[in-house]
Amino acid sequence: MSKMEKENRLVCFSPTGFQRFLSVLHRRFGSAGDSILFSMARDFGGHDTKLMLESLEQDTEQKDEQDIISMLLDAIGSLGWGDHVVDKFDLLGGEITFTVSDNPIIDLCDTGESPQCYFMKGVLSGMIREVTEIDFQPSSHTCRDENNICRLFFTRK
Amino acid sequence: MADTVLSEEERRFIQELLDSNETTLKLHFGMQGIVYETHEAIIHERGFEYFDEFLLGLEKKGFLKKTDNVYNIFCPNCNFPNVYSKYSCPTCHTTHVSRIQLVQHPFCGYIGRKSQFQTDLGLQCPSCKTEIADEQPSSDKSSYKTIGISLECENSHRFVSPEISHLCPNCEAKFNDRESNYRAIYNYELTQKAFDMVGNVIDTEAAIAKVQRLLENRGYTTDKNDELVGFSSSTHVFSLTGKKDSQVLLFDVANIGGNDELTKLLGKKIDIENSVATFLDTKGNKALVSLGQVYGINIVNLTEEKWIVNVENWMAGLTSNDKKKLFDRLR
Repeated sequence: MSKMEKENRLVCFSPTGFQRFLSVLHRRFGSAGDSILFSMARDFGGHDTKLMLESLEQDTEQKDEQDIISMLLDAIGSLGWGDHVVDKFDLLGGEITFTVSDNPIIDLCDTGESPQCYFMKGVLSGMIREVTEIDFQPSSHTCRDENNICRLFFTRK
Repeated sequence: MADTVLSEEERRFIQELLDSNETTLKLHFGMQGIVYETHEAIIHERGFEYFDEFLLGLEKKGFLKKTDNVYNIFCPNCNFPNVYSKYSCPTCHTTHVSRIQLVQHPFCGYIGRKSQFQTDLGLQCPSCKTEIADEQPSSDKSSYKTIGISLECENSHRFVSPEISHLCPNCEAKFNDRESNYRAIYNYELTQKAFDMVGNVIDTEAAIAKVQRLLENRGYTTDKNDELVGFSSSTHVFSLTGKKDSQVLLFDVANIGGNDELTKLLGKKIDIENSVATFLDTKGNKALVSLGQVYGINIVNLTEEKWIVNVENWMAGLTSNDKKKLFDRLR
């Protein structure tokens, strides 16, 4: 297998299997497990964003950060990670919010005491940092509503 | 000689039993099948077989003692402990077996199922058509006599003693008494060795108070059982924190003294900016020292007499590191 083939290869998990895989961290390590998961996901989000930006290089030349993030979210969505929409993108004011519907790992957020998805927060936080070169921190608000729509809030650190 | 070193999970389990004053493990047959009282959750999550082997492992290591036993039927295919039983025909082995009441009409001698005597008009002998009033002395023409209870299969074989077969609801295996995994399971109690494991109880409150005084003397603001929100937005609780300028000192006390507790502190520490951490080990677990070096966490062995010196040296090291950083910046 060539290097390119290796890099383009995709590994699939079922949503249930992936959630079980990740929920071990919370079960075993509590809040520490959440932050380990966040940290892993943030690194993963940053790394994946970097790869995607390299492959989208020509398409992103004339675009601003919000458009680039929307493009990346569309790409993520096409891989089965749900429909992500940028609701607010205010770099100067230091606020970014996303809406995620059809989140395949939504049940994961029930492993904690309140609905929080540290995996999704981590991936998006890593993506924002890679695109904007600014650290944005997720808020601790409960991010799932009664219709299973996730609303994720990030503020500039 | 059997390995007597406890795994992290075993150590935690024993500790939790002791903390909850639960010195025995008793089997219970309930709606959810066979379980150990108060341990239904782990059995439900990981299976009875796992927990059974886990307890046998602790018994081999001398931390549990068998008190008495009960015999249970396990599935020979998947070891599921809650199988159910059915009667089957000794001739054709079908499990479609019904229980019947056999009666006799003494007047004509006919013997048959009671249901054969039942008509819309009442009881009547199917052979001589005599109407039967009730079960009375056998000399009466209109009486019948109950002979006994029998079993009959769908293929009309009648028998008194059925074969007993078992069905596993987990894997749907069907097996008989010769094929079943029929074995003893045990009730347990903690041994003296388990109590000795936590014999030297450290006064953790006093230890925390001592560290707190030390921090305050050095100008830190302190909080016990402090809740801090990390970068990930997760809220972490620490036994003690000390804050000065932008630096945060984190302290956690070991309850069990295992690797998982140290890893928890690491997970929380990486989420708190400008933080350094010390783990106060109540069990003197030597394995933690090298792990602490890898994690960048200071390990303080509270079983040592002069443990506070370790904390003092660690804090002195932090101060000199700060000075070095400031010097580097100025240069």
